[in-house]
Amino acid sequence: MAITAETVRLDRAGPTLAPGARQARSERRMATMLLLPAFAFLLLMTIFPTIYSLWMSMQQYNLSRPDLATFVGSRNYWQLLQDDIFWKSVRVTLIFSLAALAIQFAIGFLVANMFDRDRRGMNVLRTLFIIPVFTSPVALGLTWRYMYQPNYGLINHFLEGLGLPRINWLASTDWALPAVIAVDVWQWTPFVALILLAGMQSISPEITEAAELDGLSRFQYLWRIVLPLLLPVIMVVGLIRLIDALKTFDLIYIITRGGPGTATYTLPLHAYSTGFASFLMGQSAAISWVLVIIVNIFATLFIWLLSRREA
Amino acid sequence: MTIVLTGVTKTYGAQAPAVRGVDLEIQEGEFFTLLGPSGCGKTTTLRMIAGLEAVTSGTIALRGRDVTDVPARDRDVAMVFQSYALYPHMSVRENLGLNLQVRKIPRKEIRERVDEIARMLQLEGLLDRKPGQLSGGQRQRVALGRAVIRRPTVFLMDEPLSNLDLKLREETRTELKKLHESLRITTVYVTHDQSEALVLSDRIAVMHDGALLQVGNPHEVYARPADTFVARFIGSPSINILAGRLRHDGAQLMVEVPGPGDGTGALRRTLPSAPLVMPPSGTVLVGVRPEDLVIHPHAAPGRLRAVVEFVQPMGATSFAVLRIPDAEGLIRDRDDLIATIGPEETFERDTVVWLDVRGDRYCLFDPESGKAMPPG
Amino acid sequence: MSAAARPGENQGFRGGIAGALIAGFVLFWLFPIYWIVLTSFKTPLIINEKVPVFWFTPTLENYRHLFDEFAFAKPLVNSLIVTTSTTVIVIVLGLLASYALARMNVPGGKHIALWMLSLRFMPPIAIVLPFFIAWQRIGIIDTHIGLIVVYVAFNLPFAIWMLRGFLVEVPRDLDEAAMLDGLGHLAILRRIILPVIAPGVAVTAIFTFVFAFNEYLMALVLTSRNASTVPVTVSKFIQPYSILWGDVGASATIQLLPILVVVFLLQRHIMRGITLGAVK
Repeated sequence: MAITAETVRLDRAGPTLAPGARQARSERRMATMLLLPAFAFLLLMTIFPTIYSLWMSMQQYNLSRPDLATFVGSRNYWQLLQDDIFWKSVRVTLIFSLAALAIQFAIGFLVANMFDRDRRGMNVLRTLFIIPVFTSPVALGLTWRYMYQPNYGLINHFLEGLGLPRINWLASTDWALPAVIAVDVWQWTPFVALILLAGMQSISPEITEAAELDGLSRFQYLWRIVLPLLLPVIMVVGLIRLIDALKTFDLIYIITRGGPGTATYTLPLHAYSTGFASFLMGQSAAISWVLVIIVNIFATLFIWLLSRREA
Repeated sequence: MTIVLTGVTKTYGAQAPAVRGVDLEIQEGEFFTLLGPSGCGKTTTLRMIAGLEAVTSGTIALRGRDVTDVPARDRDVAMVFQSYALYPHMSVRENLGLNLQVRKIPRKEIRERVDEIARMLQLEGLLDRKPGQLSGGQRQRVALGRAVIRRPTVFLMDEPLSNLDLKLREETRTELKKLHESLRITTVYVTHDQSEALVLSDRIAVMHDGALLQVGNPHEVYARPADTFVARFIGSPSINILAGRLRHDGAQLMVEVPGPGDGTGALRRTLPSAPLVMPPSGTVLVGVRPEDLVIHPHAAPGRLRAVVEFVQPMGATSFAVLRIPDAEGLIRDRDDLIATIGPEETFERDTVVWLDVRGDRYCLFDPESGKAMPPG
Repeated sequence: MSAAARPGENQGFRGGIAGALIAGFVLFWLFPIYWIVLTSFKTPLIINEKVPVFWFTPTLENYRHLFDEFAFAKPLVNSLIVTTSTTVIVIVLGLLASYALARMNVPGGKHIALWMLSLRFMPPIAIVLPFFIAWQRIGIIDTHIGLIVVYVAFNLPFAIWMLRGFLVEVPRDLDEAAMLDGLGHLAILRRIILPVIAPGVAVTAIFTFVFAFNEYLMALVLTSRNASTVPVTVSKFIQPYSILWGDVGASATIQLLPILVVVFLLQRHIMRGITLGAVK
């Protein structure tokens, strides 16, 4: 290619910068420097495991014999679809998550409404009430296991006091799942309640006063005014809680290990046992991917809601 | 020349430009006000002078140095923000001294200058307080002090009085004027309050839709507005605008505001000379300030018949609100006229009066473009 | 924060009853915590009593047992090292990133912020396996570093989101005033922004600390002997035929105590942290 005088002149002139562009460019360089460490780290830490586990889900990979790993394509997934235990654990996961969510919102709404008044000491009570959210699931699971204990557990003691029969909570296929749900409800209802409360308190006093002048009863006020105004908050919190419940591992693992039978065997537990007890890493990865897909549906919905509100 | 803006334009994305082609020259020591309604581009212009906003095209020079590409912190400009933007975690002393400290000025000198500024702005007892412990007026003075202490090339002020209540705002306005008289630091002041602009400024630039409409001293923009927008924006209550027409009267040109259809009364003025461009339609808009509209009890040629609606007492003066019966389209903007009258004058409702214009205190505008039609 | 009187809200005597009911409800809700703390001071004999015992002579026997038999000091130190390092790294990286996202013109900044938030939803079980294998290969399995790296990745997205939330509430004028006062971006972040959002930073740090301190699954998979954390050690109290309730109680109490103190010290800000992003 012949270098003409024209190209030379262009090269020397360089890219023409609009006035102020140099400033904008150095600003952008600074922003990149600040953002890059976190961004690059997160990118690496998500892209690597995502690709790796996707690749592994298409392998037959036994942790005790990594040398025998073979590529099997989608076979792990097809096997899952025909696996009874997989479907049972999908069912348990959904029941656990949805039931916990529903109960947390039902109690949470009542509690928030209870807290939503101007009274001394409310702040202290609110702070006390938030404690369960910060407790360790392992310690918490064991605490509840202690209380569910059939012989000397506190709960059976109280049942007996009320003239009700003792229940072997964690050994019963009927009661184990409700028992585990109850612990999740105990830990997370305060979270839901306090966010709903913050939502209620962001409703301007004038709206409340207008409702009062319009002669609404407390119930009508909640149903016709508060609930519709809280709907966006409810959606956001509901999705956060639903996703977290779908992922729950520690609490259930500590309380029941998924048992008895498959009564509390959720997808995260299934993936864990398949991988780290049976050493079937390929299958474990496939189960995880099913979970990732389910979670992603709700996460996408959540991000969509949030980005719409930010706009 | 302290500040020179040449063809300064600001565009955000695909939107219409926020500031378009502004050319300005601001003199050393001048109190210069950018005046206009919200969204007119005055704050954007100020922020471009500060360096907080990059210009899309055009150049900005401070004291002969092109600063278009210079970051805000190297421009030696100080700014008083509308919200004051005091650092909430620092005491008043630290707020005042931060810039000097950043510029590595010896601690002893900082202390002296802070004390001096505190004396000047009556902040002496407050130096160890945090902004949260100050009243609105005190915060405003700290914000002012933070700018003054730097002895910058330029002061920029973005509606610094708008967060004060009315009485305090008027007091502070006077203080600000005194401060400027004594320091004579070039000041660019942004406000949407025309009375503030008139009181404070050496010169005013009126902006609308990102463009400069007129630059002039307070008297010029008030008495000889460049177009109907400036005429309406400045003055309170705002100017009366009437539809009139130009007529040849022998050798002379005459402007006439016709009365109602029945021909009772019409305003007439002979123009000193023909307007530069005679509009093809022969129609014009005639602007008359309320204080230049004179009320007579009796009819006479060249007087416009009107009816009093009511009188608004304002203390030192009163405003008569007037209607012209059966004259559709005669009055623009509103459907009534306002005339300033003496505080002791009263009129019954529906009193018939006759209006005249004081001397040549009126302005003519092209009805199409809204531009003023200066006499040749 | 105070709520206005709501329709149908009772004042006076009946209002007092409502207050007492709320207090009663909260105490009832917290009963399991009280119960486990109480248990930590019981002897094994009292613990296994068929009828729950509420009054007894407290003993520190369980705590002694915990530290002597289970060498609880080691996992406690491990947990503190891992959690503190995680928190420091997360806060530093998070502050820089959230400042860039909230304050500077980053191309596609909004999408980056949302992408980062979406990482919070990644199920740990789905990525622990790749890390397990990779950490084995590069030899950082069962080390503090191995766990810290994963914990930073897991806590950073939410921390950035929270810090960004606190940051956008700081008026921009403040940055601009500082800019005109001659400060650069890093100086603005350190001298202006950081002091102003200090409570928010503290809350973010606490959230990070608590969630890293309580984390179980990754610690279970990625540590075994050397770097084993408190939750992993505590889960070993579950033995084939019995559970050492006294040790459970003592360890739970130890884990709970710092959290209780912090929650009370920062109560108002914690409410803000919890509601951030959900209510605006």
